[in-house]
Amino acid sequence: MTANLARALMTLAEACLGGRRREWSAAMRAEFEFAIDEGKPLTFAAGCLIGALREMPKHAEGRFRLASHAVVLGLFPAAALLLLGTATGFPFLPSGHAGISGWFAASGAPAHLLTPWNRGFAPALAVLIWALVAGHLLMPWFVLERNWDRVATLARVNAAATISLFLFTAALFLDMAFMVLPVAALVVELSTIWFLYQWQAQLFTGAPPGASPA
Amino acid sequence: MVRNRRPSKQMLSLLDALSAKPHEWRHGYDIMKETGLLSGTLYPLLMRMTDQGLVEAEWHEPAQPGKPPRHAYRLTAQGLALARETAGAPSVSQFKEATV
Repeated sequence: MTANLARALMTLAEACLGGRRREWSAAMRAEFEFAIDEGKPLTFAAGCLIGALREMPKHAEGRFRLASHAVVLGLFPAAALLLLGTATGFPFLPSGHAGISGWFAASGAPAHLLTPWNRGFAPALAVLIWALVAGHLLMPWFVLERNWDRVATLARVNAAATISLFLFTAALFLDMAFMVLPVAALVVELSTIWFLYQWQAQLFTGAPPGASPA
Repeated sequence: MVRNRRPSKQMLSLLDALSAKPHEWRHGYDIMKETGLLSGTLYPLLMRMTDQGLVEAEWHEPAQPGKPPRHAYRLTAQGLALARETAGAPSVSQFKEATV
């Protein structure tokens, strides 16, 4: 158990060091075998991980990796909010209240936003929102893998889902205020991903997806 | 960019250990045991000192079968000069400015 945990920490430390310090990763890995023999693999591996983390902000690749993780962590709350919205009813953000202003003020009178004639569209809209949530949840993994083909495809799918939701909402005369969150989530997602893409293009010119600079 | 700063206590300890037998190649785990430095301190220090030309590193074939090749370290002439310059300094306040 301890050895497995230590190996996991070593793998993490190697990932943090990146391609620039590949030789040092191999050096640590070699000494790790001797730490196992001495019965101190966890201390050694934890130290390597701490050292590797401290090294990250000191070079461009490390800063890029830290920024990628920060962006990815930032994308989760948007997806979580959308998911929470679907759990509390539809339309999600101003659920049970008269629009977003009522939701913020917590004083809006309950209003049934779906009328008998447009209620039949609710399942389709719910599916769209769930697709959007799934898209937002998948995006962080693709970004961390730097699989930009998948990122681009998923960005198009998310944009299409958001636009469809917007059009449906307008066509059904629903409260447009509830579109604020999905549109904001999409804008933030696309702009941060574009920023990361530009940054990695400078760092990893000619490198295949997921590769590190030599 | 090279900065002028005083060697840290950990760096002095490493310089001291490596300068004891300056021509001998030393392995990371052995240095850790000798100096008491933890891996999280030793490896960033070795990386930085190698970048600065104070330490040289090379791969050595394993002495025991089934073990991976080991990275070995020793001081360069520049590192040895710094070690001699800082040797025997009883406190950090007495260190001269060193290019590290």
